[in-house]
Amino acid sequence: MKQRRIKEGVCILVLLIFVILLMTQDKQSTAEPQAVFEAVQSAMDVDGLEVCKDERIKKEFGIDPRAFDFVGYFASDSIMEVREILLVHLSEESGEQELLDKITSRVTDKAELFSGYAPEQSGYLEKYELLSRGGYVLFTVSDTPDDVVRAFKKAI
Amino acid sequence: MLFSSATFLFVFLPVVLLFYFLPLFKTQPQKEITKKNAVLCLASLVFYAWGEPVYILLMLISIYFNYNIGLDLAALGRHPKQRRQIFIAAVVFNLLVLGFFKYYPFAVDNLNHLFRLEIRAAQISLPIGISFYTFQILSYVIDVYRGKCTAQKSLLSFATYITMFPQLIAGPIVQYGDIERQLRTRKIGIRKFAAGVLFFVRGLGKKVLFANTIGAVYTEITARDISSVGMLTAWFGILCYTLQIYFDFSGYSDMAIGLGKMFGFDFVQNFNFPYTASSIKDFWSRWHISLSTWFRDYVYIPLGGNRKGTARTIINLLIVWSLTGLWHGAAWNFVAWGAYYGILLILEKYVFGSLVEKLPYWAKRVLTMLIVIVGWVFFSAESFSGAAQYLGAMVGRGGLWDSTTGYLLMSNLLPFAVMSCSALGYFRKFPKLRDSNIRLALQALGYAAVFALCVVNLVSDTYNPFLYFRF
Amino acid sequence: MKLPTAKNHDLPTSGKRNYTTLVCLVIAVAFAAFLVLHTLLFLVTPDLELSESENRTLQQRPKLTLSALADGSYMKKFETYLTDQFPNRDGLISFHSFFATLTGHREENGVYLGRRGFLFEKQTPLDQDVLQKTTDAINTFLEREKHAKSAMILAPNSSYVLQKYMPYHLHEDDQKQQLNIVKKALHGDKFSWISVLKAYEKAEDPTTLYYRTDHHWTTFAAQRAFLSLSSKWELGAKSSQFTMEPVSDHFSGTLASSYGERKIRDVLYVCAPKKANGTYTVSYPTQNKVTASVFDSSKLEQKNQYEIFLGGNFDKIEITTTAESEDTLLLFKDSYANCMIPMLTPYFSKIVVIDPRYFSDSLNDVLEDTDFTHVLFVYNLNTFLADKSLSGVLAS
Repeated sequence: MKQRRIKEGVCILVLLIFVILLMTQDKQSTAEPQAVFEAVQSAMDVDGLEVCKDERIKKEFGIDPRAFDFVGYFASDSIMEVREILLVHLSEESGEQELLDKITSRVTDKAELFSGYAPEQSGYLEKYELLSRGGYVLFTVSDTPDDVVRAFKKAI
Repeated sequence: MLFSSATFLFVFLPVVLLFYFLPLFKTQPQKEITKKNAVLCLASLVFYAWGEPVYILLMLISIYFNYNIGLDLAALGRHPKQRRQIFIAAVVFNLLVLGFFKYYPFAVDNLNHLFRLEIRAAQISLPIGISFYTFQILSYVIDVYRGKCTAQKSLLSFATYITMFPQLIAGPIVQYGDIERQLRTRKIGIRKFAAGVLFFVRGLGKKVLFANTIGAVYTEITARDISSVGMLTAWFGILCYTLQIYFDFSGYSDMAIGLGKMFGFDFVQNFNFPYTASSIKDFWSRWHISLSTWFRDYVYIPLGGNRKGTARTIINLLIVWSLTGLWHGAAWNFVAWGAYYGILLILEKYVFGSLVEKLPYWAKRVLTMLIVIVGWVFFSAESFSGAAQYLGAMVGRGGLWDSTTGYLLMSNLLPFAVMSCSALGYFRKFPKLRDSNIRLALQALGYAAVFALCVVNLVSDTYNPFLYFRF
Repeated sequence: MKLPTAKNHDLPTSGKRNYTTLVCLVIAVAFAAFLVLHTLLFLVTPDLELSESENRTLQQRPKLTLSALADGSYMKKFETYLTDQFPNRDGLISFHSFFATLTGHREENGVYLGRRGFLFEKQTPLDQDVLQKTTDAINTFLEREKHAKSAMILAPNSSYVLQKYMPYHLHEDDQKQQLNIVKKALHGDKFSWISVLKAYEKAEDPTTLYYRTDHHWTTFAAQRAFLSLSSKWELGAKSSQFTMEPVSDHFSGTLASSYGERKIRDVLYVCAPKKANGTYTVSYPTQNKVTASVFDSSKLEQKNQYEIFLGGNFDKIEITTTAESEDTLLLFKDSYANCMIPMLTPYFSKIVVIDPRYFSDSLNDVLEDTDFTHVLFVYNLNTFLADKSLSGVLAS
C-alpha cells in the first residue's frame, strides 16, 4: 500500500521535473554573444565567407543592428553564394516576432529568386534554419544546416 | 509515424508482423500471448517515439502512475472514503496533464486577451495522441472505480492497452472493458488476419486516394481571397471538405481496426455511414461513435443525464457538447462547433423534433446534411471571422459563381461523384452478384488495385521537379 | 451499452469452411508478399544520386546519430529516403499523372493541361502595391534618362492569348485589362508602349505564338513584337531580313517537366539576321566569359533547350557589334527577351542586357560607362507583376 503511494508520488515528481524542464527550455542563455557567433561560424566550412558590417545587415534584412544587443552576420558578397549565418542576441525591448518575420520574408523572396535558376542554391535555401532560443535568434542557410544548429545549441 | 507513410508500410509493419507471428513458445499459449503483448507494446513505443521522441517519457509516466492507481483502487475495496480520494486525485492528475499539454497556450492566450496581460507562453508542442490515450486511461480508472472491471495486474498488459499503436494516434477510443479479455486471450488466425488486411487496405484507400485528393480542392479555395469566391465554388469547396474529413477520419479508424484484427484484436466500429443520418442525434450515433459513447458514459450520465428534469438535461447537454468541441482542438471555433451541436440537439429534442418527424424521409436527410455541412465550416476555419467570411461566400456575397467554378467542378466531377456515392453507402448495395466466386475475384482485384494505387500516390506525392523556368 | 465490433462484410461468411479459409490465406499471403517483394526490390535496386526528370538530388540513406534521432530529423530523412529511392519511382509517377488525367484532373504543380496538348502556366494575380513600386521606379528612371528613347514590351501569357485551349474553358484574369493598367501607369517623353496583343493580331495561327510545353513565347511571337518595336523606333527592320530556322524538334520545356508530361514536343526556332553584319562579341562580366555568338548550341544537348539563347540567364551581358550605328541599347528583361536579343544586334553597336533578378552591382556604374540612346524593357506579364527586383535595381 505504502509502496504504491511512493511510486505514485515519484511519478508525479518526475512529471513535474519534466514539465519544468520543458518550460525552462527557453531560459536566457548566459553565453557570450561573440563566442556563440564564433562557434556557429566554425560549424560552416565554406570558403569566401566573412563577417559583414552593419550596413550590409541593414541592406540584407532591413533591420537596424543597433536595436539589438548583438548582431553577427557571416556571409559572402558573391551573389551566387547563398550560404550565410545571422546571429542576433535580443535585448529586452527588441521585437522578436518582427525580426523573425523579416527574416522569413527575406528567405522566401530569395528562395523564389533562385528557384528555377540554380538547383544547388535553392536546395540550400529550401532547408534553411531559423530558430529562437535562449534570447538568441539563429538563421542559417547552409549545405549542412544541422551542424550549424548543433553548434549553436551547444554554444548557448 | 503515419500509417500512410513508406516507413510504416514497408519497414515498420513487416518487421512487427514478423516478430509478432514468430512462434517462440508454441506449446505454452500463456507465454506466447505474453510475448505477443511484449512485441506489440515495444513496437508501439517505437511507433510513438518515431514522431515524438521527447513525449514518450510523458506517456510512460502516465502509464506507470495509472497502473498503480488501478491496483490501489482494487486494494482499497473496504475503505470507500480513501478510495474515493485516490480516485479523485487520479482523475484530476490525468485531466491536468491533458489540460496542460493541450490547452496551456490556448489558456494563456485567453488570459492575456481578457486581462490585457503579456504572459509569454512557453512553446509546448502538442504530444500526438494525448487526447486519445488520456481518454482511454480515464475510462480504465473510472471503470475500475465503479467496479465494472477488475484492475489490471500486469503492467505489460496495461501498457499494451494504452500504447497499442493501431489506435494510438487517431482512435477509435477503446474502452478498457471492451478489451480486457482480449489482452489475456484472443483468437489470432488467418481469417481474422485476412479481414484485417481488407479493413486496412480500405482505410488506406479512403485516406490516400479519397481524402487527400478531394481535400486539395478545399485547400485551394481557402487559399484564395475569400471575398471573390462565388457561391457555387464555396459550396463545392465545403462539400469537398465534408467528404475529406469523413474519409480521412473513418479511413484512419478502418486502418486501426484492420491492424487490430491482424494482431487478433476486435475494436469497436467507429463510423457507420454518418452522412446517411436522418437527424442530428442519428448523425452522432454514426460519427466517431467511440468518442460520443465515451462522453455519454463518462460525462453525460454521471452528470445526471436526462434523469434530473428538463433544465438540468439542457445544461448537461451544453456542457457535454462544449467539451466535445474543445476536445477536438484548443480553439474557440471548436468550442463553437461543439456548442452548435449541443444547441441543435436540444432544439431537436424539445422544440422542433416532432415537427421534423412529419417531414418525408429524404427531407430529413437533406436537412441533417445541411446542418452538418454548416458545422464543418466552423470546424475547418482557423478563426471565427474566417468561418463567418466563408459562410458569407456560401450565401453569395462573392457572386453566384466565379471564373474558376466551371473548371473546379469539371475537373473534380468524377472523383467527387464516386466519393459521394461511397460516403452515402450506395456501393454497399452494389448489385449482388449471384456467383460468389466472380464476386470474390472482383473484390480481391479491387482491393489489390486500391493498395497499389495508394503506393503510387504516396510515391508521386514526392514528385518535386526543380525547374529552370526563369530561363 | 456494448458497442458492436467492426465486421468486414466483404469476406465470405457462409459457404464451405475450408473454402473460406483458403480465400483468407490467399489474401494474407498476397499482402505479406507485396511487402516483402517491395523490400527485396528496394534492396536490389541501387540508390540513385539524381532524378533526371526532376532535376534534383535525391535523398541518400541518412546517417544514424543520436542527436538526429532526438530531434526527429533522422525520421524525416528516412521517410524521404524511402520514397526518393522507391523502385521504379519514375514509372509510378508517370502512371499517377496518367491516372489523374483519366479521372478528369487537369492540373499538376501549378500547370494546367489544356486541349491540343497545350500546357499553361498559372497566372500571377495583380498586386497593386508591388506594381505601383515597380512602375514608380520605372517612371523615375525614365525621367532621369529622358534623352533616351524608351519602350516597354510586355507579353501576355498563353493562358490569355490561347484561352480557348484552356481546360474546361477556364478563364483566368483578363490580361488585356492588366496590360492597360500597366500602360496607364507608365509615362515618359520618349516612351512608347508596344502593344503585343496588337502585334499578335496579324498572326494567322495564334497557336504558333506559344510553346505547348514551355512557358515562353515562341520566336515567332518575339519577332512580331520586335517588328512592332522597330516601326516605333524607326529601325527599318523587315521580316524578310531574318531567317527563321528550326534547331530542335523535340523541345520539352519547363511546363512539361512541372506537369510530368513526357510525350508532347515542340519545335524550337531561332531567328537571326540574314546578312551577318560582321563579328560581334558577347561578354558575361561576372562569369569572366566572352563568346562570339548569341547562341549556345551546346545547350541543345541538355534538357532545357531554351538556353540556346544566350546560354541562359545572367545578371549582366554586354554585346558589342560592328553594326554601322551609333545607337546603344540598355535592356532590362526577363527570359522572354532571350529569343529576341539576336534580332536586335544589327541595329545597335552596343547592347547591355540586365536581368534585375540577378543583378547586384550598381546601375549607376553601367550608366556612367555608356551613354545609352535607347532603353528597352522586355518582360512577360506574369513575371513583371510578381517582380520585386526591378525597382531596386533601377534606383541603384
